[in-house]
Amino acid sequence: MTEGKRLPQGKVKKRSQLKEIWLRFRKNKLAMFGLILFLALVLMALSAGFFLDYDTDVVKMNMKDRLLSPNAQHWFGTDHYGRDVLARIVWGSRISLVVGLYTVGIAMTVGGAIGAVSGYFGGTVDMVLMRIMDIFLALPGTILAVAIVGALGPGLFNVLLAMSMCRIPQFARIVRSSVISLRGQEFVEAAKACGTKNSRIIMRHIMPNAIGPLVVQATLNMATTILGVAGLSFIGLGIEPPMPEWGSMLSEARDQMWYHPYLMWIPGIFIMLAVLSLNLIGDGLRDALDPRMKN
Amino acid sequence: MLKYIGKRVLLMIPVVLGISFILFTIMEFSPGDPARIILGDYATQEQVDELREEMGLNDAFLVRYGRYVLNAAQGDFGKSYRSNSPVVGEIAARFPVTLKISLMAIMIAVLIGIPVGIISAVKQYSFADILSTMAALLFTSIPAFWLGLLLIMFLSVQHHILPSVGSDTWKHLIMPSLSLAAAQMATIIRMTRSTMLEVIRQDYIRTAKAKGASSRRVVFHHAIKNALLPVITTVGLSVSNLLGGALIIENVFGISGLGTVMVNSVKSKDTPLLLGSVMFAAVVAGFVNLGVDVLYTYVDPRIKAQFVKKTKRQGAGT
Amino acid sequence: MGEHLLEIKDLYVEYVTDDAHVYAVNGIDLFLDRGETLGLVGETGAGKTTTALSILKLLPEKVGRIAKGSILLAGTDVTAASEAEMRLLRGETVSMIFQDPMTSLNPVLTVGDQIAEVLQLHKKYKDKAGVEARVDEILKMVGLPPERKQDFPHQFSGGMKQRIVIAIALACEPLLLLADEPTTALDVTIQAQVLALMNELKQDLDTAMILITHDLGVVAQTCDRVAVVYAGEIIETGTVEQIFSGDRHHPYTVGLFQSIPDLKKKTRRLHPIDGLMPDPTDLPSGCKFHTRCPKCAQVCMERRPKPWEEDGHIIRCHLFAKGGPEA
Repeated sequence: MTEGKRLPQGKVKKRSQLKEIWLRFRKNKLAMFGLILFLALVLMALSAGFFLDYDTDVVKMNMKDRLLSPNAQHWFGTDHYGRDVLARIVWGSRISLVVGLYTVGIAMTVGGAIGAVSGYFGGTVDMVLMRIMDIFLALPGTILAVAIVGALGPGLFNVLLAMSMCRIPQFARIVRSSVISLRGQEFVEAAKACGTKNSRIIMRHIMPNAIGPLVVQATLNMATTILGVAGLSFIGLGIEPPMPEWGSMLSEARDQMWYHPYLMWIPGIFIMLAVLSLNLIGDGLRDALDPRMKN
Repeated sequence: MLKYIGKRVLLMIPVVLGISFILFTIMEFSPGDPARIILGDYATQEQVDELREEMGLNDAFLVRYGRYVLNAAQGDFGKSYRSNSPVVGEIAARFPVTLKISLMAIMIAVLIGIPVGIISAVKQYSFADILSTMAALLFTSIPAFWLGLLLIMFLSVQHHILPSVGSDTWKHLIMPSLSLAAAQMATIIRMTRSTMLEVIRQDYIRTAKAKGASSRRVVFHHAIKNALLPVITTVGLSVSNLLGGALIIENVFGISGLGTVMVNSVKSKDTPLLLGSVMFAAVVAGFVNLGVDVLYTYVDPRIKAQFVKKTKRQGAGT
Repeated sequence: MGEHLLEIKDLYVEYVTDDAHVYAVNGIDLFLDRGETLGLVGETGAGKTTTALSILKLLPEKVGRIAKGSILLAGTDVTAASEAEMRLLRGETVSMIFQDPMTSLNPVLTVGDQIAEVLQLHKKYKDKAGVEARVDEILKMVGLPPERKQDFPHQFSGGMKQRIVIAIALACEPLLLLADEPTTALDVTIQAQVLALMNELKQDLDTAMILITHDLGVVAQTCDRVAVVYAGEIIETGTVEQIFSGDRHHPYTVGLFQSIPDLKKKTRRLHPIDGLMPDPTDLPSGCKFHTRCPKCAQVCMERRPKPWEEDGHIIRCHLFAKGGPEA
C-alpha cells in the first residue's frame, strides 16, 4: 500500500531527472548532430516501403542499365546488375537498423537478466553464470560471430542470432556490476524488510537505477553491431545477396571499384554515418548522465 | 608471481574447453557430412559410409567430443577435412602473417594513439585537441575493410606506392596494418585523453605544481604514469580486437593468415580446422590478457603491493 | 614594521564558466609578517581556499582569474609575475598544505621521490647524496622513520600522509606556509598531533603561516591574528585577543561564536546563524551579510560598509561606521 503511494512521487522525480538529462544532452552540439543524423536514417528506413517495391526496385536485375554513373535518374548510379544504388542504400538502412535494434534488444534482455540474477543472488549462481560469460568473452567478438554463423549458415536470422550471442556477456557484466553496487543500499534493504519478492525488487527498485549505463552501452553496442554485420556480409558470411546489405554491397563493388569508385564510396559513407550517429549519441548520453565528467 | 601466472594459465583450460564444447555443439547442428566433404561429390554412398565408420562419426556426440578433447590434450588436433594435413601444422604455417600485421597495427595504434591522446588532453579545447577528437570519432566509425579498400584505391591503384595484394614483403603489410590500426588507435586516443583529463584534475597534480614543478614536468613526471594505467587495459583489449579484425582485413588484402583459415574452414565445414584455429585464437587472447595483468602489477605500486601481501600471507599460511 | 612578508590589497577573484560567473573573492585586504600566523576563518565557500590559491597563482586554469588587486609576496607582485617567476616562488618561498592528504600525494611515486622533488626543483643540494640526506632529515623532523621513504603513499595512514605533505611543504624552509584545513580530513586524536607538529616546525624554521580553518578552537591555539571571511570579504580582523574577547564585533563573528558550544559557560542552547551564505553567482547589494544580519538597517542594503579600525582591529559593518547605521 505504501508502495502505491510512493510510486507516483518517484515518477515525478524521475521525469524531472529525465528532463534534466535531456537538457544537458541538447546542449551538446555533437550529440544533437548524431541524433538528427540517426533520426534521418530511421526516417529513411521507415519510408522505404512507401515508394520502393523490394522485388522490382531493389533486387531486380536490369542489365541494359548496368554501371551507370550517378545521374539525374539514378542519383547514386547503378551497380553491375543495373540496380539503382539509391534504392538499395535506402532498403539497406532497414536491414542495418533492424539487425542493430534486434541484436541489442535480445542481447540486452538476455544479458540483462543473466547479469541481474547473477549480481542479485551472488554465490554459486553468480560464479557459474560469470564463468560461462567468461568463455564467451575469451574470444574476440568477430571470431565468435564467424564461428556461429559458420555453423548455422549465413542469412539474416542467423546473423542476428550470432551477433546477439556475442553481445550478451557485455550486458550481463554491466547489469551485474550495477546490481552489486545497488544491492547493499538501504532502499533495497528496506524493500526486502517489507517482504517484497525478489523479482519485484530487481525489476522495480534495482533496474531503474541501473538503466543509465545500460542505455549508453546499448547505443554504442548498436554501432559496433552495424559495423560487425557489414564486416560479416563483406566476407560473405552475413546477409546474403541479393539482399541489399551495405557491407555486401561493398563486397560486390570490389571488382568494379577501379572504374566505378562511387559504388565503393556510397555504401561505405552510409555505414560510417550510421555508426557515427550512434557513437555520438552514446557519448552524448554518457556525458549527460554523468555531468561530473564534463569540465 | 610465477605462482600467479601458473594459476592464470591453468584457469585458461576450462575456458578453452568451454569454447571447444560450444563450437563442437554448434558444428553438430550445421548441415553437411564430413565424410562427404572429404571424399567429394563423386564418391559412392558406400565409400562415404565406410569413411564415416573409420572416422568414428557414427559414435554418440559426447563420445566424439571426449575423444577430441583427449587427443587435443596430447597435442593432436586432428586433420583438416579439406587438405588432410594436421591442423597444428596449418595454424603454425598461417599464424605468423597474422601476428605480423597485428603487431604492426598495435605498434601504430599505441605509438600514435597515446601521444596524440596526451597532447589532446593537455591542450584541451585547442585546435589540435578538436582535430584529434574529431579524427578519433571518425576512425571509430569507419569500417576497417572500407578503409582498406580506400587505401588500396589511393595508394596502389592511383599512385602505385604500395602493393595491394599478398604478403610477400613488409611493404605488403603496411596497408593491412594501417586499416587494422585505425579503429584501435582511435579508441586509444579517446581513452588516453579522458584518463589524462581526469588525472590532471587530481589533487596530487596541484601538489606538484605547488612545489614549483613546470607544466612539462607535471605532465611527464606526475600525470602520464597515472593516466597510462587504464590505457594498458585498453591496449590489451585492442590486441584481442585486432585478432578479430584480421579475419576481415586479411580477406580485403588477400593475405592467407589465421583469419583466412577460420573463414575458409567455416565456409567449407572443416570442423577440426575451425575448432583448432578458434581455440588457438582464444589462447593467444588469454595470454595477451595475462600479459596485461602482469604488466599492471609492475606499473601500479598499489596492485603490486596487494599482490605481494597476498603471496606473503599465503606463504605464512602454508 | 617596515615591509610585510605578504600584503594583499583589494583582491578580487572570479571563476568564469559557460554556465556561471562566480564572485569568489571580493576585495580582500590582508598582511602577514615573518614568523606570524594568521587564521583565516569562515564557512565553506567563503573564499578562503581561493585566496590561498591566488597567492600561489594556482587558480583553476582557464576558469579562475584575479580580476583586480595586488598580492605582494616577499617583494614580488604575484599578480604580475610570469609563470617562470612563480615556479621559483612555489615550494621555496611559499608552499601549501592541502586539505585532503589522501589525494594530495601521487600514488605511483615513492614518498621519498616526492619529497626529493621539491629540493631538486629548487636546486637546494648539489648532489644526490645531499638531497637524500635532507629527505632523511625532514622525515625525521615530521616523526617518520627515514627508511620508509621507499614506500608508496598507499602504505601510509591518513595522519602519516599528512606528515609527508607537511614534510614536502617545509623541505625548502619556505617563508610562508599556506595550510588549507590541514586537519579536517584526519581523526580527532591525530588532528592535535599534526597541529602540534606544524606549530613546532613553524617556530623552528621561523615560517609565517596562513591557517585556513573553520575550527575556532584551532585558531585560538595556534594563531596570532585572525581574519573572518564572509562571502569573499574579510568582515573582521584583529589579534586573537581582539577577536575572541572585547565587545565590539561584526554581527557575523558574534553569530559564529554563538554557534559553538562553550564548556565554561552554561549555555542554554546554541544559536546558529539563520539562513545560508549568499549565492556567489548572485551576491546581495550593500553589506553581503545583510540578508542574514539580525541588526540589518536600510543603509546595509545599499552601501558596502567602510572599515572601522582601532589598534589594528578592523570591522566592516555600518554599526561601527561614524554615527552608526542611521547616518
